[in-house]
Amino acid sequence: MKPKLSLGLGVLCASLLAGCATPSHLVFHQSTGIGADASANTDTGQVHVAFGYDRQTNTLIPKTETTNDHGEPEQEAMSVVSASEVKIKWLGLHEVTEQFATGKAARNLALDPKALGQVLTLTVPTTQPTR
Amino acid sequence: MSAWAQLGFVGMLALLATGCACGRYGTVAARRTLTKTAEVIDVYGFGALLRPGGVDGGFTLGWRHATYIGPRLSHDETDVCARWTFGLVPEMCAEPFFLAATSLGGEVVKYPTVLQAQVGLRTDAFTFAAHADESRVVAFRYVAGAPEQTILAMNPLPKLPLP
Repeated sequence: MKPKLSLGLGVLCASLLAGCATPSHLVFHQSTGIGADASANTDTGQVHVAFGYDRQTNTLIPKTETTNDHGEPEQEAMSVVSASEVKIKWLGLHEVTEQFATGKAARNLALDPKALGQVLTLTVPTTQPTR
Repeated sequence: MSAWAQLGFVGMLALLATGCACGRYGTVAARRTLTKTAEVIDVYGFGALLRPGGVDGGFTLGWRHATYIGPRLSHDETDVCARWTFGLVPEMCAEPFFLAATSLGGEVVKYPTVLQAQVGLRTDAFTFAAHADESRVVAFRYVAGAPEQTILAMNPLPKLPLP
């Protein structure tokens, strides 16, 4: 690799990593690619380069400010309960079914497994039994 | 016809003739589908596609199909309809909750969490679920070939966009 090119890549990676932060939103992400692909996560600073076939499924969970047992502030991953189903046909997205609760709603649902089960199956299609 | 209208008409013709799209105008076909709970906008484009802003701002050279889904905020929730537009992409009533994009060709795009460049075929799907300090319950279902069946039940609903 030529020195100028490697220096440029180094500066790029350093600048991306310098911007590491917790994401502002809870994000579910799926991707499928064939070819050449370079991407960088603008929240975490992670860089990804792929040639050929590549498939990824990611969830970005932000941190929220809470207090520990001693009353000291600390950062913790936000509360989430979720169920997701993604169907891929060939290389395209065919069907997405997602149910989730966040924050206080997630904490309350976690205390009631029956209600949680109902929420996490709200939009799941019911199939007729075959005879 | 006013001078601005004439200029817009000529600009639109130039975009279509050269196989280009800029923002919401150009070589694009869009289908806006309203279901009882969701607004679905499918955008098909080809050629040189420039998107100056939005959740998927960037540049595509080739073919692209993007689907934007947001909650339906209007109070009239009885009618379910679909409408095609050509050369113009309708605006969504709310920020998209879900975005799926398939592109063939070359593309540089800036999503809210990802900056990417690619050559080839790529499909991305994003669900922008909730803000870090938000308490929300959501049930969502989308079938690619049947946007009229889309369900997006969200509690609480996002606030109406400012006029």
